[in-house]
Parts: sequence; structure tokens; C-alpha cells
Amino acid sequence: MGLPALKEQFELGVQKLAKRDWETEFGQADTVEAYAIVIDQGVMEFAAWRRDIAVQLNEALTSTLMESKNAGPAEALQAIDGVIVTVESCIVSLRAGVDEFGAVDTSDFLLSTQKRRYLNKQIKRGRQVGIDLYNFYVDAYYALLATRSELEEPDDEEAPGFTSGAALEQYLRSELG
Amino acid sequence: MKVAVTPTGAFRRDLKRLSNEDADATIRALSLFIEQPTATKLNFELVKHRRGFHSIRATYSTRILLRKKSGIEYDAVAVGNHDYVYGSYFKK
Repeated sequence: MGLPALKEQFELGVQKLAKRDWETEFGQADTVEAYAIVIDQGVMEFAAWRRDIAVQLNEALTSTLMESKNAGPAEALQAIDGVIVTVESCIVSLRAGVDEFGAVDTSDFLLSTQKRRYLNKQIKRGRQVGIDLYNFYVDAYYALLATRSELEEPDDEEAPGFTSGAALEQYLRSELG
Repeated sequence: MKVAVTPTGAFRRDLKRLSNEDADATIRALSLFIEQPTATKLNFELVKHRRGFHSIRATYSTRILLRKKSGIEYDAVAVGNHDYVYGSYFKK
């Protein structure tokens, strides 16, 4: 899979989470135990999706680096920048979704203490699905930035290596002017 | 244990694009990384999907991307503007 196809996959991942109508699924679940089943399905579905995309991401980044050796980095840099923009936009959407899920409050639900505790546990697992997906996108974003850095031409002006924090600070502050 | 860091041209370009506040935090984080690479506040993380790369936290929305050259040598290669969500996120 190339970078353009990967870009589509990242967009689909966010749509997949958005399409998952947790509210309706929870509404249809008339017992706390049924909530757990809904969450179980989400956990499995997104874990499988992340595994698939991780393989595709690795293949796409490796082939991009290989192809750039023959064709030069310009086209690859343009393609990778396109995926980075998409992934960044997905990260913003996912963060909003995670925050929304974090706002669920069960204190008004008429439940026994034991059932409420169980429900809270399931909600926490549901949040974790979103967090895991969000963290996956953030990691993919850094993997893309890393690959981008490998494609870039070496520096015209090589900076020295630093083994002193103070010396590095002085150097970088002078660079900033 | 200290480490050695080389700020690449791409990193220095990214640094110049940051706000003064974020650039200052980025410089301080990288300086701390040299002196105390295991400092908890840096949240040193492996980039799982790209072997040989790590990231550290500069601010709650900025991370520095590092390429490991050898056991104690790193290149600072980019600044990213997203951070991971950690376990404590919903405990606030």
C-alpha cells in the first residue's frame, strides 16, 4: 500500500469510530452486562484495525524510503506531507471524541453501588478504546515525521553535537536570535 | 548518565516556527535530556512505528523527535505538535 491509500485508511479509521453509535448501542443494551458486550466488540474491532494499519504503515514508509532512493525525495516528501496533514486533522477529531467520552457521569443513574461500579469500569474501558486509537495516530504522526526527516537532504550547515545542556541552550538561543 | 545531542537543520527550522514560549520550553527540554535523559517530566517514549526514533515532551502539546545514532548519541530531528494521552488523563 502506498501513501495515498494509507491516507484514506487513516480517514476511514476516524469515520469508523464516529460511525460507531455508542449512544444507540448503549440505549439498546438494557443491562449493565450488555454494555460490557458492546465495549468488548469495540475493543476487539479497533485492536484488529490498529494491527492492520500498523502493518500497512510500516510497508508504506519502507517502500517510500526505497523508492525515493531511485526517484529522489521530492515526490515522496510531498506525499508524506499530505499524509501528515490528514493524520493531524484526525488527531484533533479523536481528541475531541476522547474528551466527550470522558464527560460521561453515571451518578444520576438508578443503579446499585455494585452495578454502578461495574458500569464505570465499562465506561473506562470504552474511553480506553478512544485513547488507544488516539495514541496510535499520535505514534503514526511521529513515525511519519521520522520518515520525513530521513528523506530530507543533509544539512548545508552541520550543527555540532552537544554533551552539555548549557552549551546546547546557548547555541539554540543564538540561532533564534 | 549524560547523552550527546546534535540539533539537525530540520529541527532548528521547526524551532524557529514555534511561539517564543514553546521554543523556550523545547530548548529547556532538550537541555534537560542531555543532563538527565531519564527525567520523568520528559516522558521519553519509543516511536513504535519507526525503529530507532524516540520522542520527549517539551510542553503538553509539543514533543521533540529524536533519532538514536548510538547508545548515548541522538539527533534532534523535528518538533511535533501532538502529545500522547496517558493513563492519568481522566483522573484530573
